[in-house]
Amino acid sequence: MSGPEFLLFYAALLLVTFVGLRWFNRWRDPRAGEALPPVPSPADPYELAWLRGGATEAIRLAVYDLMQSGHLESTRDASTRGPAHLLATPRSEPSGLAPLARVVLRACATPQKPADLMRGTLAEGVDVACSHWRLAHEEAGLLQSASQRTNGWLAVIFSLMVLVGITLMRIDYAYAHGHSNVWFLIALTGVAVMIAWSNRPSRRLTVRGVSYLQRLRSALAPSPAPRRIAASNNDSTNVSDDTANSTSAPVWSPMTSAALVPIALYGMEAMAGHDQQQMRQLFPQAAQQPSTGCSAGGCGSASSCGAVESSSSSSSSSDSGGGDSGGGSGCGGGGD
Amino acid sequence: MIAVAVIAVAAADVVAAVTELPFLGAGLGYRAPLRGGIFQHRHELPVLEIIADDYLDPTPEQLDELTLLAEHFIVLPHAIGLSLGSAEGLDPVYLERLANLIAHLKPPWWSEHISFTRAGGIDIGHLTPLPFTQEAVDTLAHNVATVRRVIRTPLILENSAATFTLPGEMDEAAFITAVVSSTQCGLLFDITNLHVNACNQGYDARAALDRLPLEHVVQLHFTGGHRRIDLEIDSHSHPTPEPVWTLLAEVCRRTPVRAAILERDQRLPPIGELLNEVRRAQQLMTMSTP
Repeated sequence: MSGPEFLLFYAALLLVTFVGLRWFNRWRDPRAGEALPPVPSPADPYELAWLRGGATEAIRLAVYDLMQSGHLESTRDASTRGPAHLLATPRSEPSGLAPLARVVLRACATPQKPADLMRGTLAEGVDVACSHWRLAHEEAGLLQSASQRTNGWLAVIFSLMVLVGITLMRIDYAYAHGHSNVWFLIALTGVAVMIAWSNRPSRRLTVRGVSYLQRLRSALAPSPAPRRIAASNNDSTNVSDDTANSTSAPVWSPMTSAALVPIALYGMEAMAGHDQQQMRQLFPQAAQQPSTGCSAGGCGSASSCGAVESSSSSSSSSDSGGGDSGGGSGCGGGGD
Repeated sequence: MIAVAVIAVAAADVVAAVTELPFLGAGLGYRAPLRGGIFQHRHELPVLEIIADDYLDPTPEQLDELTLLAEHFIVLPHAIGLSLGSAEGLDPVYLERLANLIAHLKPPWWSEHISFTRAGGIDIGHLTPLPFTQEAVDTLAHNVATVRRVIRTPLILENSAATFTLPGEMDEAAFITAVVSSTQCGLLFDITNLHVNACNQGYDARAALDRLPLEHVVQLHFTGGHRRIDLEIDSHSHPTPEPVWTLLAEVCRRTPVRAAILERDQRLPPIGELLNEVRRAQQLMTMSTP
């Protein structure tokens, strides 16, 4: 096979791989075209945040919730720049907090680095406590199951091995026959690798799950416009100037679950200026991620949700057994 | 695009008995800024009413919005610009678009006003009261018959607020009775409009109830307006005042109402305040349901 003929063959193989991976992704997500589940009412913001980005997003929402209500404060280390630790303020644990917020508050009884909250036993405990959400959402075809992700990765790895393997064989053949003009083939292989990589099972959510998240946003928070969140019981929505003027958050008042919904669905994008700045300082890594919450990287610990056991997870699970966060289906379910 | 569904049917098939219409409960007039709050409290809002005119030529975003609403609520279209009282007849384009919208939403009924918004080919841009004459009744009945040839879904008619009255042959109660009798339509009884008209025209609203065809009432509207000098304005801008609540309770006591919609267009308050009014209406309806 001559060089141009091989390149043509390789381009065709690349096309077949691309189409094949697309087909395979659709095949392993068979419920993509089905009707979406209804929008929950009332919606539990912690469940929404968890759906969007797993335990990481749920914990971040809890931190925001707790800081807004004055239960948590960031302490600045004099020797470093920016807020360094999160610490519970010295007051008794209120009953009005969402179960997951209470778990985070207890974890911050001693100073905690924000990043440590995401990767320590707290995150693992939250994962376990939220396993019922994972099961429900997997059953609804919104979240990818472990086997779906594994199959997706296997398909991508197989594709990469074939494409790169053929390239290496051809290069070896070329050099064996005294040819060194292989740079176009290498470039083509680079394109092939990018195409295969772009089809990796990088999404925490299935196609159906992404559509559902879009539907939740459209119904519950049509605009992610940053705004100061009300701490009153008025469930204030973006309606009138009169309302906007009354939305300063008084200290010590727990935020209503409805007011947290935009934050749960959009993340920091939906926060008002000062709040957003503060959260960006606390979670600089998250600040750089898109608000879609759909990528595997962005979803962080979500991939391990439910798969982790730890010494502290049982206590976290039991702690989060209440249900006073919006829909009465707070982390762990049950009633508070 | 919404599939065109213009179906001619015999008028006799369309006149659904008021008693056969379903009980929906109390709900809210849908306004886009309220969407988040409405969905958050979907479990408390079985029915929404949309302004049909906002969706007659919908954008893709509006179509998505309609679909989203229709999948979660019973959505009642409330038309404004059909101009049933126009002697020159109906706008066929408007009527076709309205028919498409109703076919898309499949509501148990839809509504328009006993008024006109178009005359001599000019859109007045405001709901204008009809003269209380037999000629106006006949015109309205003729137009309703035309509508029924196109839209199968039951139509109910709303009494209008009037800041002035045209010379006529009868009073408002007699006129509404004649319209309902002549068109065989159910009545969308706007309690606030009755209150406003009674205040502005100096009659007793409660006494007027005795002369209105309340047995034809399918749905209620209620809201609060404001007062300007000596005139009550039906501006949909304030909480429902107590006199309107009293009238609403009285109507619910006298006849089984299928739905009651809070109409609020200006100075939208937090959703919680609107829900409190909806809950109160629901309570009055439930207490009065036989």
